[in-house]
Amino acid sequence: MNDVFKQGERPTPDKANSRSRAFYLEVLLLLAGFAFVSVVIFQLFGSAYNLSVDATRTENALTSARNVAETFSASQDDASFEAALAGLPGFADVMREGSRVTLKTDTGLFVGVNLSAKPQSAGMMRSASITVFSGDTGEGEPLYSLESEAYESGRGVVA
Amino acid sequence: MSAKATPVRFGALSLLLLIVSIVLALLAVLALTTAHAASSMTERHVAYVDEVYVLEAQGQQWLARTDGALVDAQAEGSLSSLGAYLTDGAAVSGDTVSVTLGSAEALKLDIVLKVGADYRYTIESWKITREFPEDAAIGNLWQP
Repeated sequence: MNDVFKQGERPTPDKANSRSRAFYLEVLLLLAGFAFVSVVIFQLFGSAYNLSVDATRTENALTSARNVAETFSASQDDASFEAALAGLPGFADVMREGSRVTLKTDTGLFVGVNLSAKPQSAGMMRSASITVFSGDTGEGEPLYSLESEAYESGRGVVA
Repeated sequence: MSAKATPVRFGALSLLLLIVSIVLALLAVLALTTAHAASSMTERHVAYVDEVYVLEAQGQQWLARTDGALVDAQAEGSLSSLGAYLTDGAAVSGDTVSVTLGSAEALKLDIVLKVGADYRYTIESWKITREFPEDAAIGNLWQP
């Protein structure tokens, strides 16, 4: 590095080759080190991205399940529940087959709701088992499940 | 006589790559920490919603039992006998029935019903609350 040449003096071919080899070796080592560090750093970025995507997906699933559960609690029967879901923004393709209601959300999730009712001594306990799946079919990964119950008195509602 | 070894040089390129590596590493750690905080918040939200809906279900079941008890009280023709049919520490005061479900450490649901002359109820209050102890630690959200 600190070889000093007098004015007019040129390095010998041996010295020039040695300096050139050292330079290339240094650049190679530097790039190898940088590549290794980059791999580690981009793995960190990848982990952060995956964690963030999972959190967003779960949050969306939770919000959808809550909206469905609140709609269920506010409805009087299965038919009005289905009609209310169809009128909600963010939900589409609401379908009912027997006691199962399915729908898709605008966040790319699929919601399946199993409805049931159990007689009580003075009324009926309606239950909804809500499961949110990833993807737009019911065959994706279940992301979140919620159980909701609503009691309807058999003696009518007091106005 | 040994040959003089060529020293390893750290030039501008090395410095540039070093700075780039440090900045990228810093950004990666910040991204991971932020994503972890978002994930922690989601987990807490999930736990809260689960807790709320378990409590809501308990409330609905209590409502069903109370409605049944009102039918029995109506058969006896006296609201004062209602207390005998109620469970879960429900209290009858005049024409109101109240109960607190859940525990003091977690969420609790306070329900107040008003019973009419026809022994049908109206829900006066249905409130979920959580009591925060003053000296409770909030917890470190940003800790991985």
